[in-house]
Amino acid sequence: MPEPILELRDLTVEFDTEDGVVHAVTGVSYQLFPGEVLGVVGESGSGKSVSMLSVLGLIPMPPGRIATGEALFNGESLLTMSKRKLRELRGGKLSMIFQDPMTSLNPVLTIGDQISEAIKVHNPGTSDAAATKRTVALLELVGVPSAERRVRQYPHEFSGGMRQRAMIAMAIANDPEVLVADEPTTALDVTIQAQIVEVLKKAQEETHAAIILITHDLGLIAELADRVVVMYAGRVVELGDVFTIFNSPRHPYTVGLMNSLAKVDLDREWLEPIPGQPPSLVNIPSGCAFHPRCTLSQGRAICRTDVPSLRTTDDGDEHRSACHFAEELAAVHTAAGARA
Amino acid sequence: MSNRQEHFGDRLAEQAGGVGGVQTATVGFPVGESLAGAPDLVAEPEARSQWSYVRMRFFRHKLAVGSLVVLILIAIVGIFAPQIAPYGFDELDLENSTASPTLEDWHLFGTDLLGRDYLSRVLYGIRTSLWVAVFVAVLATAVGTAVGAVAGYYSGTVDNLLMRLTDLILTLPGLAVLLTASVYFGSGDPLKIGIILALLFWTAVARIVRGLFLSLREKEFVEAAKAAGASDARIILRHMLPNCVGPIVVFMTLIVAAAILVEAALSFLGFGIQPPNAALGKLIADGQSGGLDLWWLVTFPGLVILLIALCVNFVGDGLRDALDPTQRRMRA
Repeated sequence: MPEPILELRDLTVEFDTEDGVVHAVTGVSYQLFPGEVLGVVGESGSGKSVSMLSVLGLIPMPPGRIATGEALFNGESLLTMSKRKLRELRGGKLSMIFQDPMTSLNPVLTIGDQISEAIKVHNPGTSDAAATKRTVALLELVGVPSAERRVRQYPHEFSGGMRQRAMIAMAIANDPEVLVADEPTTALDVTIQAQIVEVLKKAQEETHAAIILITHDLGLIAELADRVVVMYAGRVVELGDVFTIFNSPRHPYTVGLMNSLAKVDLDREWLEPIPGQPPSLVNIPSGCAFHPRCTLSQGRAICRTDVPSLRTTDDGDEHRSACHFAEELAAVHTAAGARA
Repeated sequence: MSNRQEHFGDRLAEQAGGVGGVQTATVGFPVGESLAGAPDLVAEPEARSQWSYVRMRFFRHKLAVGSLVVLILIAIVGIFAPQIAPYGFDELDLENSTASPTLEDWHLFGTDLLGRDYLSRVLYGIRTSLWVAVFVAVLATAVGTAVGAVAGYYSGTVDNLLMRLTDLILTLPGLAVLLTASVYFGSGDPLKIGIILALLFWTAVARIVRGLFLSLREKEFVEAAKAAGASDARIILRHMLPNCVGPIVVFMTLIVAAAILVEAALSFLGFGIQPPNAALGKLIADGQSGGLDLWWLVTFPGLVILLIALCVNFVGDGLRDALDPTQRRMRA
């Protein structure tokens, strides 16, 4: 097993609000290995973005607070690192693609200025000409047509898809080792999403960066990810390679997510949503946070009292689940797998 | 052309420039006059900067454009006062005192009690007053922007300290402080008057810039800049400040108008520019002793002050509309 390039250990992030302490992320651990694509899935507010933003020092503190845990980049702690060093990492070896390309680009600077700036910040002394040349090359790489001319244009002259391409170009400008893509396709329409997926693949081929793909789009995960982390109410509930997660999930929440997908091949009148609402992060249910919505628990006491740990399942060492009764899903899911 | 058509014509012109003349023409839009001027029918859409849009919107604001022209004329007249003025500002001619406005000997604005040519005095007054006003506006804007930007960006304790300082200065009774300050620092020197005024005027700018920065720092592109490894200084100067240029410029014009008036008031009370230097407020103060009989002594400098203040305000108005990117409609 190679050394992980990025590792979160027991990370807990809290926010102080007027309603009380929001437990955004609780005891989250996962590893990212060089060159892989790790999908982080969960619904809105499950802590998938906050876990990454916090280790990059991008959440406002206060009210945010990293209560416990550790984040290691190449074995070095990101949390105790000096601000200056962290700044050098950000946008350099550790860069990020944001969700909404409409608001993530500065409206008063040209696209070229913004990408060249990313280059110059990390390579002081780069000449304007060299930076512009690299910018044009990057834009061509991510598929922006007539890049030569478009570097001089402003974000409002770019379409959503083109802006996201520009954002990706900016993110890979300094050959990152880790690329965090925070819902990179959410703000785009479906046809453009497919194109952006291709651009992301190409970006990875080019840079060999490990990618953390934060999304609630299971289709995107299936398309890109090698391994998957499923989060619910700030905790990791299931972890495994993408094939096993899709084919034999061992957590009722993951099962619910799969069932709630619209399937083209099955003629169904209704979607099957997960019953209930995601919990408030101020007031997380006792025991397993998912128990009020769980169809597997059926009122068993242990689900209400004990927080399940993320443990190895019957499915092998690399497939972990935080469900007391993970094994019971094995039978259920062989049937579901056969149906699909 | 009715108003509606005119608007449409402008939109056409926008498309012609923005999307490329070819497209508009081939789709078969009625080719109006505005299109005839479209440069060449190249398919390449021309990259158009924010500023060209701003210029375009500003030039539609007729009142603002007119005011700008008047202001520029006044400024030129002020700057070249020594060359233009028929007489020196302190050239006495006691034999010909209190002459009413006349074409004779070019005493267009008459002469004052000491027989000095009043047109020349007013021209030099414009020079002094405008200089002070612009100096105050630039200095106050610079200080206010710096304080507001730092307070808004860092928020928390820094913000608290800087804003309480701002509040403190805002609560000071302006005129009393001005009078005291001019006694202590000595009045008469336009530079000193300018500094004193600027020290009072920066607070409003600081508050506005702080407000803008507080909202800007939550914007995603600022977070994105942080994630790209930009330093605080770079984020403030390169990413946030350019987004505030509109309000800052508008406010600067308002300060110019306010400074002219306050400087006039100060001079009127005798604490501003000292004789024999001419400043517009000082001229009115000196002229008031003449009463209604010597009406020209008060009227001409008063009118000039009014004209400058009005024009500056109109230009500010036009700039505000032009710099507001959500403002797509033209104004009459």
